[in-house]
Amino acid sequence: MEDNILVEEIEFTEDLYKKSIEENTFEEDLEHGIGDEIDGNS
Amino acid sequence: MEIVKMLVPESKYSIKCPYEMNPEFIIIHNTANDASAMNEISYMIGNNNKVSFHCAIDDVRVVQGVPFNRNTWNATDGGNGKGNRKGIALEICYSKSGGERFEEAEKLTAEYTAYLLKQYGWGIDKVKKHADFYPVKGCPHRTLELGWQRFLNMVQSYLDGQQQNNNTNNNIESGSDEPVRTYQNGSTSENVYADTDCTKKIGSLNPREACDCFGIFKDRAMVRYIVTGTDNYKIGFCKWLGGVK
Repeated sequence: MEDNILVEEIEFTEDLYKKSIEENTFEEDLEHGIGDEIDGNS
Repeated sequence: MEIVKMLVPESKYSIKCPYEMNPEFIIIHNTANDASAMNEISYMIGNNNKVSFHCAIDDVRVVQGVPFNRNTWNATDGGNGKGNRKGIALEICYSKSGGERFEEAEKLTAEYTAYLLKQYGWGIDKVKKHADFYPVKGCPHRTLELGWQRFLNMVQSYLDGQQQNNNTNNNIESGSDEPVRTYQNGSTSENVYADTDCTKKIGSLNPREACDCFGIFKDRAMVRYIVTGTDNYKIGFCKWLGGVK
């Protein structure tokens, strides 16, 4: 492990998921970025 | 460098990362959103879409959501595609609007990519992009606009350890009874914050950079460093206390 790498482990919670939706609109851009590519990953 | 591990629960493995994986390379993505790394990973884990990636990286930290020994649905090359089954997927945040936050996120991604390459004993040839597996999708869109070779050069410079800056300033007069100390940064970039709670990042120290240190306050090192390329200084707080000399 490098000397000044700080690793923190936390647990995922539903509250964090709700917070992410409240704070951001997640674009499902099929041309760029993260997309909901149901067929692409099947 | 700050890394947060918030790994997807095993109950969602069947949706997000159903197969064990021996990684063979790294795949770079841009999110095309304006969310922080924590929010990107939280949203990825929380929804039930068959879309996933290992890490999101913003201007402050790396957040890992899937273990590297599990596959993710990131490369759009199908259930048996090499991208989806062999690549460690890194998403660079803030690419929708770009700007300084994105540039800092890209820089941290280059540093983290170099860190992973060293961990696995890989060379720069193991850094791929999403478009290598699914050309229709122009991802990572903003990184490609700015130049893919430029990004690879950033990774290479971290690999070579060229992001070193021994910036010491000996012309400091101490204005109190406390002598001015030295902060010698470690081998990765270190965030500098305006507050001791470390919620407002104002900059970062390069690997191996040295600067003035005014002591430890509320378990944080108070540093003064010169902003690269300018004659200006910033004063702030660092988490890693090992640098205080």
